[in-house]
Amino acid sequence: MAEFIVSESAESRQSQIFSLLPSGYQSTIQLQDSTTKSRVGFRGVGVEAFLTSQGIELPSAPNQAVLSSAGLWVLRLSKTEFWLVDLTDELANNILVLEQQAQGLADVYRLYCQHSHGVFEMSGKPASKMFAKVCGVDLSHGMFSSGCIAQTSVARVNAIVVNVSASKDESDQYLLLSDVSSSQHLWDALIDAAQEF
Amino acid sequence: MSALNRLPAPMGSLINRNKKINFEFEDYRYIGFEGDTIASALIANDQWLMSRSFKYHRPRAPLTMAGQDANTLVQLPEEPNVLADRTNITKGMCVFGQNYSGTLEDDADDKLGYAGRFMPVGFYYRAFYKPKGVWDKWEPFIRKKAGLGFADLTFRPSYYDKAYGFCDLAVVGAGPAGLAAAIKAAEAGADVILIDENKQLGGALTYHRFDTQGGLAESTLQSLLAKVEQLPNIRVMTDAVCNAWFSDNYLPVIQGKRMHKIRAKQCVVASGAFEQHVVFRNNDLPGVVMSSAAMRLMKHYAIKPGDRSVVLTGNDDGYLAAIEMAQQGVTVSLIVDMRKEGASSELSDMAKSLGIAIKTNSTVFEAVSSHDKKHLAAVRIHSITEQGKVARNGVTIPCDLLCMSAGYMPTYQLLCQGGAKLQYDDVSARFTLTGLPKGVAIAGSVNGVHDLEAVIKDGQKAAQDALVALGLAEVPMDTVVCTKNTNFDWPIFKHPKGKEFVDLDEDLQTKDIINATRLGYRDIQLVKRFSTVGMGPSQGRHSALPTARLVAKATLRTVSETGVTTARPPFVPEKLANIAGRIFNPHRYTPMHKRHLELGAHMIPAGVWRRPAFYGSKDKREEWIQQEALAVRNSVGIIDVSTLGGIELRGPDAAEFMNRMYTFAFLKQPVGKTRYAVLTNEQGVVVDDGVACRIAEDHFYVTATTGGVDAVYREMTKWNAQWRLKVDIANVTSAFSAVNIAGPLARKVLEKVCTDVDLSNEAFPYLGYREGSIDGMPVRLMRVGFVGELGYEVHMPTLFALKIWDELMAAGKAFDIRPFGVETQRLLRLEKGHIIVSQDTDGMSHPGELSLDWAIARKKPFYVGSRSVDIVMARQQTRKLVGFKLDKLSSKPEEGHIVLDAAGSDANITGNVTSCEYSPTLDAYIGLAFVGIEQQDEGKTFPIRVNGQEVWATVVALPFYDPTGARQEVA
Repeated sequence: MAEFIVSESAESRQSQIFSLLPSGYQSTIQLQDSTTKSRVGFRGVGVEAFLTSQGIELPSAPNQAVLSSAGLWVLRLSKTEFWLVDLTDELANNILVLEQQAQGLADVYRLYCQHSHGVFEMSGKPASKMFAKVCGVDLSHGMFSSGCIAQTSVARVNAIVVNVSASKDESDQYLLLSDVSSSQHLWDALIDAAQEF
Repeated sequence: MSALNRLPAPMGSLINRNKKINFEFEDYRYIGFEGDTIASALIANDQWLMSRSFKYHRPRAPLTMAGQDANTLVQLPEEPNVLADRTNITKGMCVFGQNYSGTLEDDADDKLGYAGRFMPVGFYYRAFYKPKGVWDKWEPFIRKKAGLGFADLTFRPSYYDKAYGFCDLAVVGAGPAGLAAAIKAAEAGADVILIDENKQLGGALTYHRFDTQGGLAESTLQSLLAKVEQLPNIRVMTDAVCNAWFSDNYLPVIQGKRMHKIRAKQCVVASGAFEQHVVFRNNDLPGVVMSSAAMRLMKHYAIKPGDRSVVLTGNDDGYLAAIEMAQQGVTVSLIVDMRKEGASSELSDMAKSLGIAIKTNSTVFEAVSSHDKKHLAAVRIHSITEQGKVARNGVTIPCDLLCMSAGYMPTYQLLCQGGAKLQYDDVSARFTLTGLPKGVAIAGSVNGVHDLEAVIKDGQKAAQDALVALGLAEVPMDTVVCTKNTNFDWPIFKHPKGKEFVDLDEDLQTKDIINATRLGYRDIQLVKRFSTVGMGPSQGRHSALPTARLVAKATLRTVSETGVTTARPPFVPEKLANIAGRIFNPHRYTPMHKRHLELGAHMIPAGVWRRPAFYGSKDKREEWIQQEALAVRNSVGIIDVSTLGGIELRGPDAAEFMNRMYTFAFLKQPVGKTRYAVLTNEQGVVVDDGVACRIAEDHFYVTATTGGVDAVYREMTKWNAQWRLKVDIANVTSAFSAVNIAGPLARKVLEKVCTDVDLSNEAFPYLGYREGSIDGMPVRLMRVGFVGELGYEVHMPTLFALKIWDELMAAGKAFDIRPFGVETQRLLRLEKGHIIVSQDTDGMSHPGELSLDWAIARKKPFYVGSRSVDIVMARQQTRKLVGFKLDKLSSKPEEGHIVLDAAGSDANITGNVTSCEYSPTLDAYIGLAFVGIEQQDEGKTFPIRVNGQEVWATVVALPFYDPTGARQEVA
């Protein structure tokens, strides 16, 4: 059968968030739905070698993330699972090429995070405090620094939280990835929690 | 004193004298200052009476001014049982008393006190049930009299929520011990949360007097507060109640409308102690207060608590309170010291220098009310002759304020919730807490340490213990020793006329406790349950100790042998809103959710998903389902099946893994073909089913039921942890959405948008699998027949699903495509005789009962549950799932209705109905039911009990519709 490439047709992607910011939303925490931006995931014992061969620098340990020189956030979710996320919305082709090149490789299994997960970007200094209202893991500044990943429950749905702040001294930029089918619920919960700040 | 003419500063630390606030109490207007509580503002206005007691409707006024008693429970328009001494006044606030008949001032029910002899302890356990039927007469009366306050049923809930908190050390209580502990720990680098229920830090330092000169509390407080302010690693939570202690220092802290769920690595409990009352006749009169209450009125609210005061004490603190009052302009007539030896000469001399007389080895034996019985007018003082006994004659001292201080009881509740034991030394009347939970230290008066200098050291020592446990210090500090005794051993003086209240909440007198023991309730827990002592709003804060003393004496045991009642969470009454507020209820939508709503779908829950049941109003359910079904049978319909589970198996051992997991054979399944997949568990029970698509030699895509996919995925990963096959297992349920286009015209719709797949019957036959694209978007196509017509399931990456739905709907417009819901799908599949696992199966259903023998590969060596399936299918069978039919004029059986072996009341149950619908195609009711094995043959009839009546159904061959499969396999 022909290749089944899920990174194609980026322009046809549609987010499942159908109600965005409520009228009168005022908060120093900004939320952005980035579900339609490009990403790809791989799992398997051959992934580390594959990505390294592509010139992509990888986090050295699970639950760590690094910003690659190409501008992709590289998330290491386990020893053998990596997700690459384009927050610039300019690297869709890089993602597509990666997915295509991984086809047929032994011990490299593509994951469908492009379609299985909704993606939110969150910014603002109080964001770390806001997490205390929706997540039972300590994501406060100092305990969860830039480059850290928490695979946890946020508002009772599984979520991957990544601190993507510019430096270790800051905690003001976060990335959340969560099941796309419950992304409206998570979005509403975050908006509700953020309005205090 | 008028409402606004308060004591000069520094008295009044909680009030803002620049901001006046008007409010109402019992429809009278009052004025107070910002920062005043309802109680302080009312007392400033000389309004002491705030409530009526629960049983006898006796007039009651604040006792503690700290929210520790039920005397201050008042009614707000939207909320009953509000503590007047903890709730601040607000502009225009309307406050009422509670539990009265008529008015608070003139309560018709206060006559109940005269009937007290007819309401002895536990009387309600022995009354109202004889003769038979009398309860019906009593009930309305008792219901009317029972309870406090009124719930506003028009109340609209407001926003409450929760938050998590984390720290190295949580310090509960911000008195001198807590402050010292927090400072010590923070200075060593610990991340500290400091929690206090009061509006300001300092605890007793904010109201208590620790020295004769009166400056020590303030200077100590300012010194400690300055340090706290300099330490950014102390997070202060005031007006926050730590309402329980749970394992591993999990602390629910309620602050306003938020419940904080704090996880602390270590915890220091410096919760202080409750001042105890003296038990004597009429000790509940308004004007009889704890010494600490009088101090709070002065120091917090700048209120002179009385004009003429008497202090009744069993420790030195009563002297200090008397001195403070005298210096604030109260005429303190007398200090009545229950101790023989009295206080130190320094204290006595100071008191005498202020004109205060002292009488030792004496007690107040009775409080005398004013003419209207609503306030204290005098006290009768008697000498103590022996424990609990007084001399015959006494003296009467006029006064409008009596301050009591019998001693202190540790605020032990949180600690005992964690398993600590409260020990009492009968000789010294001192308490100790032992068996503290791991990771918890205690400090200050809760630890029996009362001297201020020792209290601060004790706080530091507790912090040091925590620091050692945290690895931030190495050497613990020495134990702090405090010899200061604050408790008088027997502050209970039974009066011949009674009304010496042990428990003010429940109007329980000394005789009630003693009588409970005489009735055989020797155990303190039984006394509590029989008498209700300690079961009121104040939860035994003041009644626990005198009850233990009385029970001990009555049962000839020591107080330590008697013990105190169990402390359980919550520490203070907790609003349901705090528990319920903002609960997350996740739900899942398919990408087409918006379209379903636009099409008028009636949405129903399917687990956490929302799915269209049918399209149209609920009141025409049958009509819509019939129309949608006919559309599928006659032209084409489309259903969103995105909730179907999806699992991908990739790797060299993918086929072997499939073969081990599912009952069918999968090793030789051709690429490009689908195969029905049945999953049994180790007990041989059918737990899920789906369709397995072989995409490549090493790649399977298998569907699972909506509700079962997570369990299937979990089982797969569990089994492969044992098998170690080289296969990657991925739950792709959310990654792929799906629709089923079904009906004679389905192919025509699909071929308009999917042009790169040959959809002809030859190229893409029934049960085939293909991949293609729609408008450049990749799709997986399965030719399936769940609803019994030519049909294609289109599985597509989820972010494309909405666009593809729209394109299919547009393509289908020319063919009158009609969306159909899950209820219509259930009817259509029933006509086709397809089971739904979990609806038509239960926890005992093995493949044989379900006629799924054909889906079991007998020749393969193993699949999960194979041994059990062999065993259960070899046994004598007892039931079978069969198709049945009955006339449409019969009563319609519903799911769960029982199948019988015969008609009549003696019949035995042989099975149950699992599905039943009216089929417009067959113009009859059709269904599936488990029947007895003797009832399974085609043509046999069997009774179903429907609403108490039997209807007779006939077993028919499945499927009901298109038995040759010609329609789904149409060329």
